[in-house]
Amino acid sequence: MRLAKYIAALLPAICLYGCTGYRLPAGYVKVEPTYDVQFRAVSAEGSALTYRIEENPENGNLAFWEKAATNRLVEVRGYQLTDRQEVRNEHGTPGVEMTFDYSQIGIDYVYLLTMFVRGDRVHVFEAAGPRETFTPDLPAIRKAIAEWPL
Amino acid sequence: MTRRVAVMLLLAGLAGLSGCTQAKKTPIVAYAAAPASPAYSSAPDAAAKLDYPVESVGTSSGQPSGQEGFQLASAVDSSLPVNSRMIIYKATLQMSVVDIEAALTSAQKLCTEAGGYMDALTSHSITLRVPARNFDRVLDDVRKLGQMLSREIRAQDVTEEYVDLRLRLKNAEATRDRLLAILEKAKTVKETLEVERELSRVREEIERIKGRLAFLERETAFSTIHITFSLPAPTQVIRNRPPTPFAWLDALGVERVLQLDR
Repeated sequence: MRLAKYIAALLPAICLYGCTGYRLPAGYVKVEPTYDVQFRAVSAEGSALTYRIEENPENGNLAFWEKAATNRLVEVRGYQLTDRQEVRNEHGTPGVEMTFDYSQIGIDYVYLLTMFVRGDRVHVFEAAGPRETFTPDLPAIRKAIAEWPL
Repeated sequence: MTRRVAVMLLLAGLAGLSGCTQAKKTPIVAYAAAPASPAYSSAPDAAAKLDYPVESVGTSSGQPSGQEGFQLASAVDSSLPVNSRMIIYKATLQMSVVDIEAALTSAQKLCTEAGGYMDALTSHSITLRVPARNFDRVLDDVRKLGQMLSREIRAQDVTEEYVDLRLRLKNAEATRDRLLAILEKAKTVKETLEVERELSRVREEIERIKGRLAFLERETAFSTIHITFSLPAPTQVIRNRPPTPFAWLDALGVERVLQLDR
């Protein structure tokens, strides 16, 4: 039982160790992650891509997390959901991709949230940047997320 | 002789009252000088809708700009053009921004570009005075500075007070002119002193009315926008929702991804 707890605690690290198969989006460099994300990369323009793994409680599914995330971002934080689509990564894992608009100090940002649920883990990709400079990066970011080994 | 002066003063006072009554019977032609914000002006041609008639006081030369408004204010006269409602607009905003210093600078810049000026500044708030005609535009621009937490806009219609003051000013000036005429006819020192005392009182009244008119013109020509900025709290909410046990959901968003809050 104790061993199982250790494994569970080490799982993110183990996963990250195993995440050597990822490919950075073109124009992005890997930097030291902050807060509680496991991965962070930034562009020269200041846009960023982060990746985090969260626990998926019993009965949690993609629909639950999509609804929970949308509720916090739109209802609580004032983000505007501009696009939503169901996606599937290159390994066949179903996910959901949501695009939001957000303004801060006169700057219009685009925020891309992509989530996959695999077993007891939720894989969360966040990418954001000023609309003008970030929009051209979107294809490369989507490609990197699709190829990411979960 | 003193009795004659007293009678003349009494008559002057009565004439003033009479003038006031006559003025009220004169039909409206136009009134109110300062510009009102188009989007908030509920009755731009409301002159004809006043409950009481107002005397025509000159020809309109268009809406004064902010500076013109101030000049008018310092030299009120009975020929001031009047053509719309006089409304004082005041907006009080509370906004959440990631950089208060930058937001204060941006707000000041927006105000200056709109032809206004900064009225007060603290470490986290700013009071702007913007030409009334640009009130809406500046408000729209300001809201882009961050997240609007609250907004309160007050509109105070001072048309009635303004029109009333203009009438009182005109009557006071007429009384003053009559007193000056009486003063010229005064034959004794006592008569002169009596008339001058009354004249002084009327002049004080004229200055007081002009001061109030100037204030109203200034307040309607420039709208006030007071903004208080605050930093976003991690759990800051636009709408209250019960918390979830998944704290990471609250960490989602542009601020954390781009580290705007660092």
